[in-house]
Amino acid sequence: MKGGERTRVVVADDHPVALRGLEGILRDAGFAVVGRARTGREALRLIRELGPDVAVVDVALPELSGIEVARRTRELGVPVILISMYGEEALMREAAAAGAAAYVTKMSSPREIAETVKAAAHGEILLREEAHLSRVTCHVSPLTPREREVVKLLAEGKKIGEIAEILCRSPATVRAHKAAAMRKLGVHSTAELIRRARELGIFPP
Amino acid sequence: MNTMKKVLIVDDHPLVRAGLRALLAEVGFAVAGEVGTAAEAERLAVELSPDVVIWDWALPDGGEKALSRFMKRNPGIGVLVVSAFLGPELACALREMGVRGAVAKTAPPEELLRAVRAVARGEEAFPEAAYLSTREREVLALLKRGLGNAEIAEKLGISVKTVEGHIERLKRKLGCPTTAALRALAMKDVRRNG
Repeated sequence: MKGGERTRVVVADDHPVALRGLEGILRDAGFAVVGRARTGREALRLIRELGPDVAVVDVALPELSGIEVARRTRELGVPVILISMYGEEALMREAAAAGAAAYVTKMSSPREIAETVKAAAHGEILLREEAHLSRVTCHVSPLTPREREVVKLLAEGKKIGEIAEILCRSPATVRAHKAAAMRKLGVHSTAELIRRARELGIFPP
Repeated sequence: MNTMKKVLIVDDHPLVRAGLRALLAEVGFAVAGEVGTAAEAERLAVELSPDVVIWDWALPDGGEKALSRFMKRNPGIGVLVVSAFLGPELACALREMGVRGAVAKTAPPEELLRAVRAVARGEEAFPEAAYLSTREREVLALLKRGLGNAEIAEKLGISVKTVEGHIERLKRKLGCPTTAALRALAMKDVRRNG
C-alpha cells in the first residue's frame, strides 16, 4: 500500500446483494473499491489487471472457487481475504494452504470486515496453516484440489471443453482428472460423481 | 408510490442486510428494521407493522415451520423469501405455502427490487421455476436421477420427441443454456433449508 493513498480493493461475490453490502461497508470505512466480480474467473482477471492492495473474495464462487483464486494469485503478492457462509475448519485450513491472508465468515460485523482488510493491506497474515493444523481433526478430501475443481465445474453443468478453458488445461487433462475422481469415489457416471461428491461435502452445497 | 412502503429485513448476515438496506433506500423504500432471526422478526413485525418482509430462507431458527407461523400471525404482511438456491422444488413449495414472492440471491438487484415492489402492491412475484407443469416436474425428477431421454420416455409412457419438448421448455423456463446445465440444476434441486 502506498502511503497517503486510499487502499484499493477488488471484491468478488456471486450474490449481488452481498456484493453491494460488502462494497458499502468498505467504502464507508474509507477504502476504494476498484473492481467487482461475480465469478472466480472474473476475480482472477481483475486482480491480475488492477493489482489491488487487497482482494476480498467469496469462497463459493462459480467457475473458480475463492480458494482457487487465492492459490493462483499467490505469486502476485496481493493479499486475498476469503469470505464464506461457512466457518468450517476444513475450509479455513484449505484457505491457509492456498496462501489466503485471512478468512472471515459472512456473520462478521462490518467493523470486523473493515479491520481485516486494513490489517491485510498492511501485510498481516491472519491465517496461518500451522495454527489450525494442531487442533483440527483432519478432514482429508480423497480428491486433489484439481480434481475437486473439475467435479465442481461438472456440477455447475459445464462441459469438458468449457472446463478445460476455465482451468487453462487441455480437455485430455480434464478428462483424466474426472476419471481419477470417479475411480476414487467408486462411481461410474457423471451424475453419480456429482451426487457422491455432494454427499461427501467435497464442495460447499 | 404515494405512501412510503415499510420493509423489514430478516437475514442473519450483516453483509447482506447492508446490501439490502442500500438497494431499498435508493428506490424509495423505508427500511423499518432489520433482524437476524425469525424470533426477532416476530417481535418486530408487531412493533413496526411493515408492508413487506424480506425473509432469508437460511435463518438459524428459520425453515418452513417458523415461516408458516410468522405468516399465520401476520396475515397482512407480504412475505418475500430470498434464498441462495431457488430451484423448482423450493419455489413451488413456497408458493403453495402462501408466500407472496421468492428471489434467488444470485438474481440481479433489479429483479429483487421488482419483486419487492410487486409484493408491496399485493401481487405475486415468483420466478418461472415456481410454475412448472406436473409433467415438467416429473421429467426434471427423472433427469435428476441421471436417466437419459429414452429411459424418461419409457418411464412416463410418452414419446422421446415429447420428452425433448419438455426438456427444451424446462431449459427456457429455468434459464439453462444446455441440457447438462439443466441436469446439474435438477441435481441441486432440493427443498433444503438454505
